[in-house]
Amino acid sequence: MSDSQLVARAVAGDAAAQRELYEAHVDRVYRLAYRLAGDDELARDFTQEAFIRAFDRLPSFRGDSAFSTWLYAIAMSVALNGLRGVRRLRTREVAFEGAESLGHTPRRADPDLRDRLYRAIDDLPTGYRTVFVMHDMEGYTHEEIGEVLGIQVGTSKAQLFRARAKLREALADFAGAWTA
Amino acid sequence: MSDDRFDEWVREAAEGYNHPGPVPREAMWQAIAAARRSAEPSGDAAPDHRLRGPRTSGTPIWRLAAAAMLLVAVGIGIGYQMRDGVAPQLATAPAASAPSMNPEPITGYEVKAAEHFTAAEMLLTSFQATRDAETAVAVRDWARSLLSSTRLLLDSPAATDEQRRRLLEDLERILVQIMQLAPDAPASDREYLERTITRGEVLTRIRTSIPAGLPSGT
Repeated sequence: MSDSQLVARAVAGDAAAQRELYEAHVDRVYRLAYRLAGDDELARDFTQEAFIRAFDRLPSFRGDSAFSTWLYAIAMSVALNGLRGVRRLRTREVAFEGAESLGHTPRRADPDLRDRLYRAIDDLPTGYRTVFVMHDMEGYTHEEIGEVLGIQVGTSKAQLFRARAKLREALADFAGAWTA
Repeated sequence: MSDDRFDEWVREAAEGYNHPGPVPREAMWQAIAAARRSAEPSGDAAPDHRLRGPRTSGTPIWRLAAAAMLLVAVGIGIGYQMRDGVAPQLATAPAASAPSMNPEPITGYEVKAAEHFTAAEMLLTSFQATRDAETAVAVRDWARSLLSSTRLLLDSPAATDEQRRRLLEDLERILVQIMQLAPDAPASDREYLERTITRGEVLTRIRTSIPAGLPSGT
């Protein structure tokens, strides 16, 4: 049964249809939430909230876009808003950890290139990081990203380009390591 | 250096970044179903404040705000006094009558934390109970002042207790969200915040965190 048929049944109050919609999309929503949050509890929270909002708003879904696009847009809105609240806490933790190592660890002594990459991804501006995660890690197309985030396809491409440039810059002292 | 090779390497290496484990489908579905069930009978009003009566409706919010400000000021004073770790007599007195579950003397920081949580409880209850624009502004200002003392407590020995630290962190997050909630924000944003408070059992945790023998404000 197609999403649009399931949506029609779900709007009519069919709980089984809601469950089917959930089963069909929960993996992708949770994966994306986890990729952005890096925390199971937050990812669960965002995923649950996204589905609660989606089911509440289902009667207003007009079918202008695919149900999945509409749902992922809600999920991204929930996740990005939620992450704004926790970012400050993380910044403080990172600042504290950073203060301990200041002046002690030469940059080149960083042991693990992948760890450096992960930290560089964490440090990307939200827009760049979101597009990078969606495109390079979760396989969304620029068209999908544009629809979900409400941005132009060109903007999505530009943000991905800049994200990669920033990562390249952050890993400059490992230049060439990835060609080995 | 080849940009293409770099991009290829990044795509491959980034696969391990925040790599999700198995999706907890059933647990999340149960939580979603429970949240939707609990939202149905009570409409858009939070059930918690209904049980607690009309205490926060109308103008008393200003008195509550003033009380909270006073508590914050007193607390900060106690905090400075307690920098060297010596508890003032005021703080140790209730310890004698405290339940045997907590044989440790109550420190000034614990007094401050209890007062802080009392103010936070009043704020969250007011937030849930009031929806008009004027009081929303008052609640935002109040949240801002409580946020400062929340952060002070987080950086103080009061946060060495793991449970209390988590509660303070959750409270900090909620206060930030209350401050950021625009007066014209969609109702769904407010509902999301209310659900965060309910789901995190923040009010319950606050109430249970206030030791017996200390003023709870309720």
